[in-house]
Amino acid sequence: MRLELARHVVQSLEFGRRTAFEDGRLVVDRDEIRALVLGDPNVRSVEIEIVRPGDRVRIVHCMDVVEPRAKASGSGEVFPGFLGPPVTVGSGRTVVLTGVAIVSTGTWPELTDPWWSNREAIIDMGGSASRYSPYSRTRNLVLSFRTAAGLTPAQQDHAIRVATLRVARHLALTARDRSPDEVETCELGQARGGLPRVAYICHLGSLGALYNTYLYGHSVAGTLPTLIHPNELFDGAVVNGHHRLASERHPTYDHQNSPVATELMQRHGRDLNFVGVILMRSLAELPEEKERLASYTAKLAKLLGAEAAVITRQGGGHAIFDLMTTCQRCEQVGIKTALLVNEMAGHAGTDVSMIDFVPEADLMVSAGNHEALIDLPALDRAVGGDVLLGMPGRAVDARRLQLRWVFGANSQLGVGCLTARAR
Amino acid sequence: MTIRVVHYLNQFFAGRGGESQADCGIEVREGEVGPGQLIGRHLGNSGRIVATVSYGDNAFHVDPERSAAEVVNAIARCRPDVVVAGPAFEAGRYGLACGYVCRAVQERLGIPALAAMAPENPAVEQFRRDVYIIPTGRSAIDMAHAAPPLAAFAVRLASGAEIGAPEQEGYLPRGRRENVFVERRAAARIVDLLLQKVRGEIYQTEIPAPAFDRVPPAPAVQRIEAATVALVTEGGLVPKGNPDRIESTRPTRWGSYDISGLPGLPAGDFLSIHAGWAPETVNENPNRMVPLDIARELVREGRIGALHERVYVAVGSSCTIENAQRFGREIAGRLRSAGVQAAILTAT
Repeated sequence: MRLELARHVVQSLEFGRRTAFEDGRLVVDRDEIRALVLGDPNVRSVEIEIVRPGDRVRIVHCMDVVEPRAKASGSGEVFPGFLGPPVTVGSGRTVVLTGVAIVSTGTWPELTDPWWSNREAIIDMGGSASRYSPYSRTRNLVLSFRTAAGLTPAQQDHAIRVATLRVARHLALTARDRSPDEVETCELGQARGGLPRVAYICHLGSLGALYNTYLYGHSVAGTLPTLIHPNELFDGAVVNGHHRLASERHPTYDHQNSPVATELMQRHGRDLNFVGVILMRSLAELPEEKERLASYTAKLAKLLGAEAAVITRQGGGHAIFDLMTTCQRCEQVGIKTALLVNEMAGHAGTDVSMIDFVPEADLMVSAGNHEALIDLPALDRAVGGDVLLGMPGRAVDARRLQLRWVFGANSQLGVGCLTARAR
Repeated sequence: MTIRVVHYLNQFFAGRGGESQADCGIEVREGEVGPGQLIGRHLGNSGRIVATVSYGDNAFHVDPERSAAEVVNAIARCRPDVVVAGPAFEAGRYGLACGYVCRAVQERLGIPALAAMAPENPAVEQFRRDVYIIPTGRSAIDMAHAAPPLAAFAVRLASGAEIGAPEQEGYLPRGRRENVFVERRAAARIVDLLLQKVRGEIYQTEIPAPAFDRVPPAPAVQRIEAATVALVTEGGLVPKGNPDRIESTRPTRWGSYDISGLPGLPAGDFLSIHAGWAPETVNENPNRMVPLDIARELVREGRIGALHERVYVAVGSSCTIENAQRFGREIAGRLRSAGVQAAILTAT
């Protein structure tokens, strides 16, 4: 499987009369985007705004972040199962607009259950807190959606997701006939003997509607662990549908740019032999289901001949049991593991970082403490809403809050440079 | 720049007398006193001790918060850049006073403070989370070793430098995890570390093994058919309206509710307010969180002696360990005084 990522670096993002990409300038025609999105009767309205790094703007009620990509050649469509039939992707050429992202925002006022009190997600484009979110560093086209009346939350979520993915593909298609700044070839060729065989085990959280991850358009709930080629990730085979706990949410953008898969691929044939990606559903409710998933994952990794595996967690709470069980099952069959996980060490960092642990988990990389308090400065403008869900005051106000509300700040996919240290 | 240091001592090291003088109150003297001379020498040109504040070991502890406030007021008048307390070695009252003073200085004056004492000093456990403590030997014989790192770290703190890990800087680990930005992203670090592990090299985890508080289970109930059993849950199942306003996440309190006369928990009257899970199923039938219906049956069948007529409810979602331990102690205390011999604990 060979995939060329034809990267076009976007140096400016602005509104104009006609959507087009030329010489690093991406021009977006609002009416054209609106027409594209409103083609679905389940989408009632969309507000479209542009925000840039350094703007004193706070994006609130974020749902997902998506990188504009489109297929130029090769089978299937980006985001297979959503924008095209679920045929295998990951070969041919894919156009990528680098440095720009689509941010979808929306909320469900009807969700008053405490379970949904955790759904705020913030991106500060400027000010002192902008260093925490990876999406503070991209030029963002923010789509603030309202959906038609009478839909269930799951139907609203689906409509917004498909609309966002459509816009992402639409924008990338503007660059299809341009010459890219860079072409990156992604393939796992024959690696010389003697290099350690390394698998990437990526947990995908699924806990019902609005807390879900999709593979080829299908929820991972109820699925057994499965094997994919990293190129499939780069073509959008995995799409986010998780709308809680912003700092550890895994937006689609981070699956498209999967940091661990990218790192392993870049070092394939040099330092290691990357044998593939195992996707494992996490957050299963029943202990026997957790066991089945973890044991199955270790078995798949062993069948791949893996000697070592990077395991990334998704979500909080009992997702730690999935992580620890997977680690233990792998180590028991002789696969050395390293775990990527964030910490819940309390506001002052004095609590125990995690609620489960196995002695085999002797190598963990930290994505920081998501319960640490940070100060958001007052900003000039909010996009996506006027308030923060479940918090008093206006969205633009200065306030002290837990890092967990900042989108992507404690990514367990390995995006960020934040860690926690003993002090 | 020469930093201004205020030094805190007990009455003994301030040369005001031994145990017989432990009841003496606060005294402020200009410049360095006793061990301050050695510390001052190691401060060199970087700083000087502008004043020394001392207090009697017993007098301080009559009301330590008040004594600390008194010391802070005296220190404030000396306009220091940093406050140094001790070394207190293994002296318990002195060590605790150092802890109170340093914490109060940081909180009220917003300037850094540090103490020095032996790791065995009881004040270490009480204050190491809040106060930088430089380890020393157990007795004053160690003074010559204790002074240089104390002086050096005082200068580091006063200069506003970013303070590194305990093993680099020489202070006792504070049991804190602090967020820091590093150069390489987590995906790159984890591949490096995994390769070190595979090659059999030395590798360093970024998160040490957590220390859990293991609770040995109570001995089995001898005759459960004669025992009073209570129902306790972490699932946040509260009466409609949440009368005690228990928080859905990071809870600080728990509740207890009368269930006498209820054959089971009726849907609609009890709802789960726990923010960490999807509660629809339990809200449709609250007995699946707190099994009152089945417990009543067991009593009728004589398989358990009696049911305690109150249900105890806490929320586990993001609960701090400290609060969880307190909830457990408080609920267990109530159960014990109500003559309960066994409890069924259910969770989300």
